[in-house]
This record gives sequence, structure tokens and C-alpha cells, in this order.
Amino acid sequence: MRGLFLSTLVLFLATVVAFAQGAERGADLGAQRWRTGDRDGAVSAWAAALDADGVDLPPAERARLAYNLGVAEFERGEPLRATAWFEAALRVAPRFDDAAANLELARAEAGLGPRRADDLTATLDAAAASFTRPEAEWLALAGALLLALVAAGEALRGGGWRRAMGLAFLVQPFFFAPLARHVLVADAQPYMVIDDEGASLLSAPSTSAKRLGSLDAGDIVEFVDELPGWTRVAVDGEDRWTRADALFALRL
Amino acid sequence: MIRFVLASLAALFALAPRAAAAQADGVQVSLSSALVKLGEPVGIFVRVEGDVTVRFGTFPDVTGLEFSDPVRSGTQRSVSYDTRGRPVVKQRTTYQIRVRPEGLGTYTIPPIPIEVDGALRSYPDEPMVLEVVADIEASRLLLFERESVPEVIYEGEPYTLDLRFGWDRTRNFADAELQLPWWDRQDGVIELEAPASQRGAYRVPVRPGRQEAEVEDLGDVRRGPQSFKVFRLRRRFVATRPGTVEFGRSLFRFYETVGRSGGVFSSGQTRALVAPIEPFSIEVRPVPEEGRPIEWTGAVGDLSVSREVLRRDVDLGDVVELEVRWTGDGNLEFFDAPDLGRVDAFRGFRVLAVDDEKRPDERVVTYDLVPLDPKLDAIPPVPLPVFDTREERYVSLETEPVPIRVTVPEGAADDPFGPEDESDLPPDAIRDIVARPSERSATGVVSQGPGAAAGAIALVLALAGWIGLRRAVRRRGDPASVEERRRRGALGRLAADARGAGGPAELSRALELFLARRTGEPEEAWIGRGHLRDFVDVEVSDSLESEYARLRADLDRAVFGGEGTADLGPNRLVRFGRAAAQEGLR
Repeated sequence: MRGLFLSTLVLFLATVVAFAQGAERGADLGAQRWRTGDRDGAVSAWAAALDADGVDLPPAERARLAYNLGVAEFERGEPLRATAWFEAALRVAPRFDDAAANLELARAEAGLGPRRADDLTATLDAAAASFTRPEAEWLALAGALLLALVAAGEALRGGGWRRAMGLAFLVQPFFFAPLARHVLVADAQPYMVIDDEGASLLSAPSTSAKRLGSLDAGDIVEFVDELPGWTRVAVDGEDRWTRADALFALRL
Repeated sequence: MIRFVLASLAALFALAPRAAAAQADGVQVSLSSALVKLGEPVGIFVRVEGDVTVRFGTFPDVTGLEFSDPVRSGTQRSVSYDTRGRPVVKQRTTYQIRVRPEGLGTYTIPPIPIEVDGALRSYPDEPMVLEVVADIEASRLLLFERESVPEVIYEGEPYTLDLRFGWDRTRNFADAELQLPWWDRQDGVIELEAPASQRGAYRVPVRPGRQEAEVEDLGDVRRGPQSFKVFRLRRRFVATRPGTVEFGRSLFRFYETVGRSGGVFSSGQTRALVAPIEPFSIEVRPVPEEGRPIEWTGAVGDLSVSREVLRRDVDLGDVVELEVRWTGDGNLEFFDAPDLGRVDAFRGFRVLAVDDEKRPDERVVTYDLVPLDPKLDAIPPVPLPVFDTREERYVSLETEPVPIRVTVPEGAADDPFGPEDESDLPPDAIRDIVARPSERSATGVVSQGPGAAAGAIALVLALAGWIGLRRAVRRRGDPASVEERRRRGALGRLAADARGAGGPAELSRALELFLARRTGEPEEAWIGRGHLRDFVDVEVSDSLESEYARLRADLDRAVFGGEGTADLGPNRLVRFGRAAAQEGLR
């Protein structure tokens, strides 16, 4: 009973202190530290929460933690790292407006161009990427049901339903494209180059290995394998080795 | 004229024996004609006897002559019989090489190396002589001339090519064409767009190739006592790189009708007259580096500029439309208009939009300027650095300044483009952290999906179901046919007809129409039928059968006997119709 009382008291005092220090109601430990100016402590708390709970955390929470870590990196003057965190957050929560806005800002600060090109392909890809996986699955099912409905009309009535069915067929790619995109990247492990100088691509995991090319800061490559201090990535269909500390795993 | 003909014949006789000299080994090489008028076709014929392999060596280089590749123009075979009655087959193959003389004069063509069945020799033994003479008659009857063009221009400086061609009014026109070997084949030259009115409404064939050019009809032009029907081919070009623009010999070929028409399918005989314009060239000099301003954007020529502003008394933040118009003889389409955002004098303005209109004879750029300072009292001059081809130096072509008055409206902010509230601020500050843990589990509107396979399975099932259902339905006929649509609409029509009926007779007709639509029989067939079973394709229930019999009897009594029953009304008909439709009456 006394233990319970003491625990309640400690919790109450902690809450009072947090309020006194200006943290919002319900703020997590990292946010409380952030408000008090303990930036390193905040980063530790958010990183620990992300690492400890890993994929068991709901996607929205994972995205929030990555976003906060991006803000922290930006404030520390590391726009490339911030870019990677915001990118990672957006891959989990594609309609996270704050993350999208901060990402563009961080990219500009890091000397990178806009996240997406201003052309039709990029626009369509952005539209497909704006759906989460569950949404994409429901959307695909809705497309199939729409087709089923119109197909039933065509089978029973013919006539004008035939045109409607043709139209329903034509729009199926729009219903299935987001899901197809998710399926294609389901097993992908993208890494971003976060070294300002870029990263050399080597034939073997050794500093004396033959240099076969380079990656620019902000480039995103696919993970293949790793050794201590080295990561093997796929670039233009070829496997190359590069320094592990120059890369950032975008998959949370 | 007679003297010319006699001279031509004499030359032909003198040259013919040499030109047509036959070789002992069955190869004969000759000119089609040793004396030709400039512009007339001329060629070398190579005739080879026997079934042999022929290869041509490198053609001799004759200044002023161009040779085409040899073309096999035909093979002749003849069969004769020797004194013993045995057939002897002779074969002769002819090759043709087109020759194009560049000008008047006498050309000597050395023997041509030809390999026959592996043996290389030159034919004929003696050189061939080709004399090209002027078409004196054509020079009298045709007009073909050009306006002078500058001998030297600068890169980017436009020039006009003006060719006039015509024929004596008294000649019978059959056809005409221009032979312009340089047409559309000059590197580093771009044709400038010209207004359609200047290009003309007539089209003339241009050789070589199968192109056509628009020409302008200049009407009748008098030259001395003669009157010519004259057309003008006028084009403007701009040279885009230094060098020499060559114009080879241009020919105007006129075909006139001579003699009578050959009937419905023939326009009679024609003869060609050819008039030349001698070759000429234009030297294109590079625009000098010396004195070139940093701001120069490629403008070359003798240009002038004007400006126009419609509204000069504006409020702070209002748009002022400044229209700048460059005209003159220059590359109006090819320079970049001044970027006023980079001109210091325009610091007090914001350039909202630029409309750049390139016309053949002028360049008009409209700047939408917004004055940012109420102290502004003029739109500064718009500068354009130009390489002046007349003065051969760079000049700055500037508009006159335009006086304006800028008024500050009441309550306006100092900066008309300043943000009205914080939400309009550009995203130059990072957005804050999200402090509270997310209460939602999902990042979208749903947290769980039906699975990636659900959509695909549903799609496959939809297609399979569609195929099965379609087959089943189509077994009974096309559902979109007129009969089927009538059958489906029969109940609705029955309800409408029955409710609008004015008496038993119309009710009876509505029922007959319903049955006719359901069964596909004519409406009249159902008059007087007292039961259904013998007349429909489906098995009807006893209740429907008896209801129909009662309904029919009641309707007949009411129509023919005037004995209406209390429940004989629209609702009873609709009830029957609904029951019939449910049983699939057809």
C-alpha cells in the first residue's frame, strides 16, 4: 500500500515538474527532455524507444519517433541525417505533412534537390505512395468489387453496361497501383547516403579494394549484405561495397 | 537562230563519231549528246555485249562536272540462227551515268575505267567532249533573276533571298519548276518564319527532291517590249554559325506546249526552256568577342525598340503592363528577352509575369511589373545589348523611361507581398516535434487491410463469375435485344397503362400489351385467349393460370357485356403482372 502511494506521489511530482518545465500534457519522456533543453537526452529516449520496441510499435508511433529524431538532427546542424529520418518517417506514414515539409527543408539545407521530380511519372508515383499498405489493400479490393458489379450488369443487361465495364477495366490500374507498389517494395531495405562527401563504391570490403564508382549524398541504394564496418549495396544491378557509416537504414 | 542550229549540228557531226566509238571487246561508251543546252539532261551510256560481270572503277575527276553512280537501265536479248540453223543468243546490257555540268563551257571527260569479267580497261579509247551552251532562246523568253544579297553577314544576322522567275506572256504554259540544289540543304542556316501573305498562294515544284515552295504572283512585268508573267520566291534566313553559305547554280525550267493537243488523254507535245542563275555565296563572320557585354543574349541586327504602358497611375501592389516591342532587320526570334529581375534599375519592381511573343517581323515582350515603392515615379529604360550590324559594334538598345504615379491605398502594408498571416510564411523554419505518443495505431484511415491477395482473388472471381453468368444469360438470348428490353419493361408499362386507363377496354388492352411484350407475340394474338399454358414457354403455376382466366373473363364481361366487377382495376392487373414476372412468364 505504501509502495503504491509512493509510486503515485512520484508520478504526480514528475507530472507537476514536467508541466512546470513547459512540456505538453501526455508528452513522452523524449519530449519532456526536449522541452527542458536536454536535446541529447531527448534523442536517446526516442532512439531507445524506437530500438527497444522495434517493429512492435504501431506504424504511427514509429513514424512520430523518426520524425522527432529528424527534427533533433536538423537542430544539431545535420540536415543529411535529418533528411534520412524524415524520409524513413514518410515511408511508414506517407501522408505525414510535417515530415514532408521538414524533409523538403532538410533536403534544401543539405543541398539536395526536391524529393520528387516535377513530372508525370513522379506525380503518379507520389500518388501511389500516399496510400498505406492497408489502404492499398482495401483500394484494390474496392476496384475488384467495382469491376464485379459492372461485370454483373454487363452479363445480365449488356448494352450500355459493356462500355461501363470497359471503363472499369481501364481504371483498374489506378486501384491496384498502390498495392503493387507496396508489394514490390515489401522486402526492400533501402539505405540513404548521409555522408556529405558521398561514398565510394568498392569491389571488396577493404580500403585497398578497387574503386568502381561513387554515390552522392542523398542517394538511396538497396541493401544486399553487411560485414563489420562495411555494407554491400546494389547499384545499377551490380553489388558494391561501401562504408557502413556513410549509410542510413530507411526501414524502421 | 539558224546560225545557232547549224553550229550545233556541225558540232554534233564532228563529235559523234568519237563519242559513239565502239570497242572491239563488246563495250561501247558514249555520251547521250555531245552538245547540250545548260539545264538539259545529259548522260553517258555504257553498253556491254554478252552475259558478263561489269564493275565500274573510280570516275575521273572533271572540274565542273558531277557524275551520278551508274544505273543499270536495261538488258536486251535477241535470238538469231546461224547458217546451220542453230540458235544464237545475244545479250546487251545498258548502264546510264547522269552528268551534271555546273556551267557553260567545253568539258573533256577522260576514258572511264570498267572491269569486264575481271579485265580492267578504260573506255572509250579517246576522251569524250561535252559542250554546254547557253539556251539563247530561253534567255529571251524566260526571266530568272535574284535580288542582290549581302556578300558578308554576321552570324545571327538575317538575310533575304528573293528569286523572281517568269515567262513571256505569249508562250503557252505547260509546267514550270525550279532546280535549286541548295534548297533545304544548307548547314548552319535556319529559315525564318514569314507571314503567309508574304509567302504567296502558289506552289512550284523544287528539284532535286519532291518538294514544293510557296511563291507570290507578281503579275505582269514589262522588260522592254516584252511582258512576262512573273512569280517571286522570297525567304528570310539566318546563319547560325560562321563559314560560307553556298548557293549552287539555280535553274528555272519552263515547259511550253508546242503543236496540237493529243486528245483527251494527252496535252500534246511540250518542250523545255531553261534559264540559270549563276552560283553565289555569302560569307558568314562570327560575332566579335571584343566589346561583347556580359548581358548580351544573342541579339544581332539593325534593331529599334519602342514601349507602351496603358495604365500609369496605379496603387501600390497593382500590376503595370509594360509592352516592349523590338523591330527591324535582325534575329528577332533568336535572342533572350531582357530579364528585368536581374536589372538593377528594376529593383523597385517585382516582375510577376513575362509574356514573350515572337512574330516574323517583330518581337513583343510584355512584363507584368508591380511597383514595390510608392516613391517610384518612372519605369526605367529596358536595356537590350545588340550587336549592330550596320555600325559593326555592340550597342545598348534602351526604351524611353515611362513616368508613373504610385499611390498607397489606405490601410495597405509597406510590402504589398508581405504575409497576411503566419500561415502564408514560407517554410523556412523547421516544424516542431510531435510530443505526444500517437494514439492511433495506423498511419492511414485503416489499420488492417484484407490482405494483398484479396483484391487479386476478387478480381479473378469477378472475371470468372462474369464469364459464367454471361454464358448462362446469353443462352436465353441477348439481354440487350429489343425483345428482352421490352420483356423487362413490360411490368412497368403495364402499371403505367393500367393506371392511365379510362375504362375496361383500355385495361384489357394494357393486359394484352403486357402479355405480348412478355412473350414476344403480337398484341392482337392475346385477344380472346382464356388461358396461359398453351401459349407461353414456361410452366406457370395453377394460381397464375386461374387468376389469368378470372381476370380475362372479368375483363371480357366488362368490355363486351358492360358488367364490371368491383375489384377490376389497375391494382389487380399490376398484381397479376408482378406474379407473372416472378414466374418468368415469357
